[in-house]
Amino acid sequence: MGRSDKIILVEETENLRSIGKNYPRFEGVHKASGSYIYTPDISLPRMLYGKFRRSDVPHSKIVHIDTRKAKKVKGVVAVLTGADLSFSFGIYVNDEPFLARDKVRYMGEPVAAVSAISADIAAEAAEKIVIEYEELEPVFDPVDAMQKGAPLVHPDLHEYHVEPIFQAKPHTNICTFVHLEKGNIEKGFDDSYEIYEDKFQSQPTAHCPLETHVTIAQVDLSGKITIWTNTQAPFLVRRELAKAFGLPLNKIRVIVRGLGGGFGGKSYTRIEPITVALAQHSNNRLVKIELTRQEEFEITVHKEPAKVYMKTGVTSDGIILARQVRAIYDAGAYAEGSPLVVRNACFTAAGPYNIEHVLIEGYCVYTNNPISGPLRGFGTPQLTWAYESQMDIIAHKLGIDPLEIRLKNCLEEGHEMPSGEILKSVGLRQTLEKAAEEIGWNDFLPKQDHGIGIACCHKLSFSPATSSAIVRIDEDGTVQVDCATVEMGQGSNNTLIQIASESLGVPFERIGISSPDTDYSPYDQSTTASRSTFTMGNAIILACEELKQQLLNIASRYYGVTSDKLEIFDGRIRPKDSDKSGLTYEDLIHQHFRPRKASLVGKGIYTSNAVLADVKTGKTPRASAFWMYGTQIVLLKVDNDTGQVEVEKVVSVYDVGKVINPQGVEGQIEGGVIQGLGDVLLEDLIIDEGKILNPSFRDYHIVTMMDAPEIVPICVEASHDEGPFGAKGVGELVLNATAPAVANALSNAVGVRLHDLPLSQEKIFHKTRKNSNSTGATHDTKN
Amino acid sequence: MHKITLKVNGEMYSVLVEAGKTLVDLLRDDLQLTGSKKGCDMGDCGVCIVLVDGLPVNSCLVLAAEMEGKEITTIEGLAQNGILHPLQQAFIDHGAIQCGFCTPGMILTAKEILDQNPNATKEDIRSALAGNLCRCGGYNKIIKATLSLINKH
Amino acid sequence: MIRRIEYYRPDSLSEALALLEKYGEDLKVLAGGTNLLVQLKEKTIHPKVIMDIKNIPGLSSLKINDKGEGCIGPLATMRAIEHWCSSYGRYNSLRSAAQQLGSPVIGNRATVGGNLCDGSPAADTAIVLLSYDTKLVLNELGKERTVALGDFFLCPHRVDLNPYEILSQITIPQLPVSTGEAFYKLGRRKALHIALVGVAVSITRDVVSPQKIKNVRIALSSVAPTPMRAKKAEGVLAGQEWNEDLLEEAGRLAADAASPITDIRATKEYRRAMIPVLVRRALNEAWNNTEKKSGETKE
Repeated sequence: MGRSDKIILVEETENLRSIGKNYPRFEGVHKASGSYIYTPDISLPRMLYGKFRRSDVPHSKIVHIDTRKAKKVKGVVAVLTGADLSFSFGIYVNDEPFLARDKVRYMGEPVAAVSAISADIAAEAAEKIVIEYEELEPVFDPVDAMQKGAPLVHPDLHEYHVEPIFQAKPHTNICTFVHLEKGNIEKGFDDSYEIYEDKFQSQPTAHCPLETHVTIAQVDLSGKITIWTNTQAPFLVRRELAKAFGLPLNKIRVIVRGLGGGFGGKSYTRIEPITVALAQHSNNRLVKIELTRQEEFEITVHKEPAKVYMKTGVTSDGIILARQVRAIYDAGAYAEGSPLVVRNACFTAAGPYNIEHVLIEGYCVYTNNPISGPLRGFGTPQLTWAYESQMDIIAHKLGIDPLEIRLKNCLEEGHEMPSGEILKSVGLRQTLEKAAEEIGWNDFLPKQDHGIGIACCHKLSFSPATSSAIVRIDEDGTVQVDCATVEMGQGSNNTLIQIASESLGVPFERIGISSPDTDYSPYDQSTTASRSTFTMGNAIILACEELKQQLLNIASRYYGVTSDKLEIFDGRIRPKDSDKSGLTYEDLIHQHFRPRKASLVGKGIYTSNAVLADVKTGKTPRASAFWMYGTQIVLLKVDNDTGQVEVEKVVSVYDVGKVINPQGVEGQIEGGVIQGLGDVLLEDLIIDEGKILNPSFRDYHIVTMMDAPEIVPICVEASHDEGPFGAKGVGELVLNATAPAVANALSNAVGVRLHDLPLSQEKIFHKTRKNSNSTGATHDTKN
Repeated sequence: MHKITLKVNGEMYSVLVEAGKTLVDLLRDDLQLTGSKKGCDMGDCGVCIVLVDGLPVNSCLVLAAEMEGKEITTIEGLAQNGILHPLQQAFIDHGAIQCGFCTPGMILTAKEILDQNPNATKEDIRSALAGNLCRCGGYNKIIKATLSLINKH
Repeated sequence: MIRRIEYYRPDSLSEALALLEKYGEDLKVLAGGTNLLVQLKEKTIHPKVIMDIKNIPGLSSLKINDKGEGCIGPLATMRAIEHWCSSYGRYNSLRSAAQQLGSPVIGNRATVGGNLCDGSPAADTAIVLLSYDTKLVLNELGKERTVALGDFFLCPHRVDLNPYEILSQITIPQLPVSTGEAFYKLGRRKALHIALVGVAVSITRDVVSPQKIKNVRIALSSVAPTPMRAKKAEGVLAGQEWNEDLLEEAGRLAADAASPITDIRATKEYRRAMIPVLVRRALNEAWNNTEKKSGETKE
């Protein structure tokens, strides 16, 4: 008990100054005192407010829009419809208009937008817009949407720009498909002792950052666009806006304050384009759009619902010989991030196991549902749900212990992935063993109506991708890090400062870090895919190295020795073998610039080491710069009469490489478990005929304080030779294992196996009732 | 328009408010106390919680007009003479702040528990904070931070 | 902001009744606001006038009168009720319903009168008050009437309160000696939830033969158009010796009497199936509570 809420590091922290230590959150005082400024808190002179008029039909031709009444409302400045805006956006598939043009593709899609002197006036005017629709046949199920003759959500798909790393199938609803093969799947099944086939389904879930999407846009008379927006990807938003408006990049400035949560829902461009368009039409006045909670549910993305078919051939002693996976993801009406979600997730689809024969097929399919997109885990939780549920089904049928079957098959260094990548830095086995040890797996006997379940998982990071940083030492020896990593709660500020601190030998307290502003910050891909510690961390190290070289050069002139005769220690430089205390950075800067004052500047640009996969075969010698691994064990109790599940304890062990910021990693692991529990037990965005029926926190249930179990976060530190001080990443994978571990524990407790998420108490109730009514309860039966 | 007089963070205000304006909008838009957040505007998340006469209240579910004569404390009013309230410090020390959006509501709600019940148990704290959502999932650290002050008593 | 409404805050009941007389259907009474403001923002109601009754003296009082009855002002908040019940050691299921309504922060504003007058089939306090023999005092200009709570709920979100009336007092009886209570609320999570099914029970032991049930009231929420009593189930229990088989029968009858619907929270089948489970648990708990209580009175 006493150890819950305390990270357990498997390796002792070596002789490091800042890495592996806890510091108060860099922006903690501001957040604790209410002075931290989030984007919704920003209010600027001459600012107007924008509101949408949104569709109440899922798939319809727009016959006519009458905006006259809206324009007459006192206080209204601009009213726009799709016809006024000929641009589209969409980073992977250029498929989304700023406002629906010619037709609407999902219920809730913005059709018109109004700017006015107050949000209420804008909303009231928007209601006065009259829209005439002509119904088109909709398609809601992605499997239906893949059939020949299905209504096409995007008949013009063949004309869209599709990023060359994706394969779209023109004249269908398939906006991406992935094919990945290793060995000979047929032979693998032929050689198998037993073959298991299952279908699993994941529901759509919403990101629910407590801070909704907000954008403020300013368009000045020189044509420069400035936006304040709460995005995870300022440079990506800048690129998209530049492309859409046909402007050079330097005409667009994206300013990002810290985020009130992201979870992947702010990874791509959403309301920025229409906010800018409104500002362009509002007499040089600024426009702010702040989504309501209902809009956040309806027009920002949610996690792709997915259907996963999994066929697995095993030997009699539980070695997996062959695995075939067919995963169909519902992208909804527009592609957004889903093509990359499906492509990248497919690299993980066979599970964290060494399998000789693999066939993976992934489909990203348009439907007339609201837009899907990446949510923490980037398409991999849907797969982990399938492969880890099936792993227990197999273990049970073969009579093998669930831990043992995983240990028999788990990935290790040197194993070959379906893509052809040979793995390095793999701490999976250790996470399995550590989790089992913590809970006492081998001797664990659940009480009546209690169950124990295990699941493990893996994930790659988005790579190759580039981060850059500028690190400055000012005249008093304090340091400023400029980079575009977005602090959204994950603790990147602390982690990156610790890396700079370690690198330069300057105390944490003497280092500051800025928030992104594309006019000042050097380029960064985005704050996604658990990539910042690794990639931005390396960029900061490179910048610090450059600074240290400059300092050595100054010292070399001062001491009159070549720089190889000097050593840097503890923020000072002195000749090697000297007992002098040496010169501080402050002294050296003073030496260099005197009698004037100035700063030294170092820059670092780092591209993570990976090779883009062949678009047709998915083959690559290195799909990802690093892989993350983890295991969770869940203890739970089931109320047989009601189907209610109470999760009592979760042991969550992750291999994240070297831990830089323990408190931050703890926060991520605990938060991942909490979100994972919501995923498996509570959360379900109910979409009926394209309509979201529960777009509120009242009806869309996330985990509350009362539902939080005891969590034991543990880190295994499988060091990565390219990672900053051996670090990898943590933010995303931490929720993957929760859902199947809960399902496996449920099966252990009451002998029911559910294939479709979420495991609502009602489903559990009906299933246990069905089981006990038929043959009498047998544990772990197949659905 | 209604003229109301209220005390916010120890200062008296006389303001004219429209009948339909909520307290959270009065605080954020008119008094520029943006520490109180807006997460759902329907009383389902708790990020707008402020203390009204000492009691935590969802300020999105209260009309400004109802606040005549009331004494309100927002997160901005907690630190005194430039020193953080012990709870604010405890939240920082225990890593109980992540994205920070729930933090003001959490701290104010927790403050009231401590004020009312210096011997509050872990369960008391959990149930008192049941109406404050934290999507970063930092619940255990938030409880720990709050408990740390109780153990000191 | 809520557009186009007027706000009044009368200082006396007579002033309030005059406003009701004047505006009738166009007026909505603002008590705690935890429901009303949501309805206004979601535009499910469109009143012209909001009348805040919190400045009327006496409407939030909580006391025991000379007859030993509990007199609850409609403006008593969940928090106040919780404290009051705790400090008197009475009305335990009212205390627990007040505790479980939404969250403690919601309970700082939400009032019992609001919970009743909203007329939600899921109202937590409504079923507890139905499990007592509760009476409501309703006032309009120059008139006053008393209505039994059982007759108050008409259909979802409609109660027997005309547009000119206001709820001014809730009276609950002193519970007889050897009465035990229980309140069960089934939800999808442990806080901030609306009952999928709720059950409130009060049960009284026969003083002469303590294994006999003298009297019982069972009320259910979220399984019918209004909060409801399960009278047939009560019928099979009253006057009988306590035994487990009776509980099964009572649960079955309660489920038969219900007419649950399927909505986004649960299916009607699940709701119906949960009724016997909750009724059994609530009866057991309430019965056990009577033992404790009668034990206490003996000492």
